[in-house]
Amino acid sequence: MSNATTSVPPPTRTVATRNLGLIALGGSVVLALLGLFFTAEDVDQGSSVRIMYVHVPTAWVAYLAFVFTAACSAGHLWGKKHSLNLDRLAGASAEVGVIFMGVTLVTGSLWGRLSWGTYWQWDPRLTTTAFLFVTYVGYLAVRGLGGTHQQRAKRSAIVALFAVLEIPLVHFSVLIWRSLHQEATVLRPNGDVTMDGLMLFTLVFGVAVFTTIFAWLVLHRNRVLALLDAVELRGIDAALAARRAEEVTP
Amino acid sequence: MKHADFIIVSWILSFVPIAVYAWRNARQARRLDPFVDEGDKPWT
Amino acid sequence: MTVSRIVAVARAVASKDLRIEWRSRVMTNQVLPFAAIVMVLFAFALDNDGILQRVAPGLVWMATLFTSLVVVQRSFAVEAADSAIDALRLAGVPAQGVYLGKVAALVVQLVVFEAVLAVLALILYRVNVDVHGAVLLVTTCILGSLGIAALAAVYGGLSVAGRGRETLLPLLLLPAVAPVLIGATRATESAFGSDGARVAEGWPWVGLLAVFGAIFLFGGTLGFGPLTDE
Repeated sequence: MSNATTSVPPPTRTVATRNLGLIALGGSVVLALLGLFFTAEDVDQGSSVRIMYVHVPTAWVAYLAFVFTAACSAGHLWGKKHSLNLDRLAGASAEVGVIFMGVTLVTGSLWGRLSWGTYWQWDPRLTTTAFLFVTYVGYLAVRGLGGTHQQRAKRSAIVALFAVLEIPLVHFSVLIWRSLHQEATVLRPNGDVTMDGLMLFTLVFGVAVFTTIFAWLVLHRNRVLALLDAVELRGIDAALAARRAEEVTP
Repeated sequence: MKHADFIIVSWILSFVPIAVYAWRNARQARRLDPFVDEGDKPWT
Repeated sequence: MTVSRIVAVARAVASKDLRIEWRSRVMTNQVLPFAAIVMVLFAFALDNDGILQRVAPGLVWMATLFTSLVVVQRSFAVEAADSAIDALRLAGVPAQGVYLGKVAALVVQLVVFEAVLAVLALILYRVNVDVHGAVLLVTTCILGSLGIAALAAVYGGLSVAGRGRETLLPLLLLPAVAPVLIGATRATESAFGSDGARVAEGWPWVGLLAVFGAIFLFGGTLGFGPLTDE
C-alpha cells in the first residue's frame, strides 16, 4: 500500500503522447529540409541565417521553459493543494530549459562568429541569457537538496520566483551599463533580420516544432520524476512497515 | 572552419542533446516502471 | 506577528550576531586579512599600475563579493550549530524578524569591510578621492551592502546544515547579486574618478542601488521564512 497522493490511473504510453512525438519528429525533418535546403540565403547575412532557424526556436523554448517553471512554482505555492504535480512539472521544465539555454548560447555564439567576427558580445540579450543559464543550474541544484517532497517543492518554488524577479533587474542593469559604451549597433548586424516569404515561414515553423518538442520532453520527464517520487515513497513506506513489524514482536 | 561547418554544428547541437536526454529519460523510465503501481503513475 | 515584534526580534538577532563577532573576532582576525590578501593578489595578477588604478572600483567590489560569501557562511553556520534557528522557529519567533536581523548584522560587517578595502585601494592602487567622492563612496557602500546582504541572507539560509550545501551559496548568490555589482562599481568609478568619471555621474547609480536593495529586501522578507522551513 502506498501513501502516494499523485495522479490518476491509466496505461504507460498514451496515444496522445505518441502522436505528439511523431508530430515533433516529422516537424523536425520538415524544418531541416526547409532551413537547410529549400530556403534561399539572406541578402545581408548569407548562409549564416540558416543558424537562425534553430537558434531562435531554442532561445524561444528556453525562455518559455523558464516562464513555465515560474508559473508552475507560483501555482504550487499559492494553490490550495500545494500540488506536487506542479512542482515536478516545474522541475522537468527547468531541466529541459537548461539544455535549450545552453544550446542557444552556443549556437548564438557560432552565429556571432560568422556575423560579427566575435564569439561573444556583452549586449543585454546575450548577457541575460548567460545569466539565466547559471541561475537555472542553481535552481536544479536546489531541487537536489533532499528532504520531503513538499519541502523540496516549497524551496524550489521560492528560488524559481526569485530567479524570475532577477531577470528584468539584470537585463536593465546590463542595458544601462552597455549604453555607456555606446556600441555602434548600426555597424554590427543583429539577429533581427527582415525576412519574408518562405524564410519567415520557416522561422515560425521552427518555433512551432521546437515548442512541440518542448511539450513532449516535459511530459515524459515529468512522468519519470513522478516515478522517482513514487519509488522514494514506497521505500519509505517499506521501511516504516518493517519498523512497525519489529515493534509488534515482543 | 567554413560557414557550412558552423551551420552543421549548430543544427546538430540543436537536436542531438535533446535526443540524448530523451533516450536517457526513457531508459530511466523502463528501469522504474516495474516498481511502481499502475495507480501511482501519471497519465502520460 | 506585529511590526513591533518583528523589529524587536530583528534587533535581538542583529545584536546577537554582532556581539558574537565582537567577542570571537573571526571577522577581524581571519576574514579581514583574507580580503586584504585578495587586493594584493589582484596587483600580482594584473601587474600594471595604470590598469590597477582604472579597475580599482571593480576590484574593490569583487573582493567585497568574495568576502561576503565567507561572512554569510559564518553568519548561518553560527545558527546551524545546535540548530539554533530551528529552536527559534519552533518558539514562534517570526521569520521576518530573524531575516531582518541577519541582514542588519551583515550590512554592518560588509560596510566595515568595504571601508577597509577602499582604504587599501587608496594605498595599493593609488586611487584619489575628494570630499564629494567620499560622500558618494560611503553612500554606495551602504546601499550596495544592503543589496548584497538582503540576497545573501536568503540564500545563506539554504546553504547550511551540511550535505554538500556550502558550495550552493556562491552558485546562487553571485548571479543574483550581479545588478548590485554593476551599480556599485559604476558609482565607485565616479567616486574614484576612474577613467574620467565625474562624481555627479555616480548618483543615478546610487539611486539604482537603492531600488535593488529595496526590492531584494522586500522579496527576502517574504521568502526567507518559507525557504528555511525545515
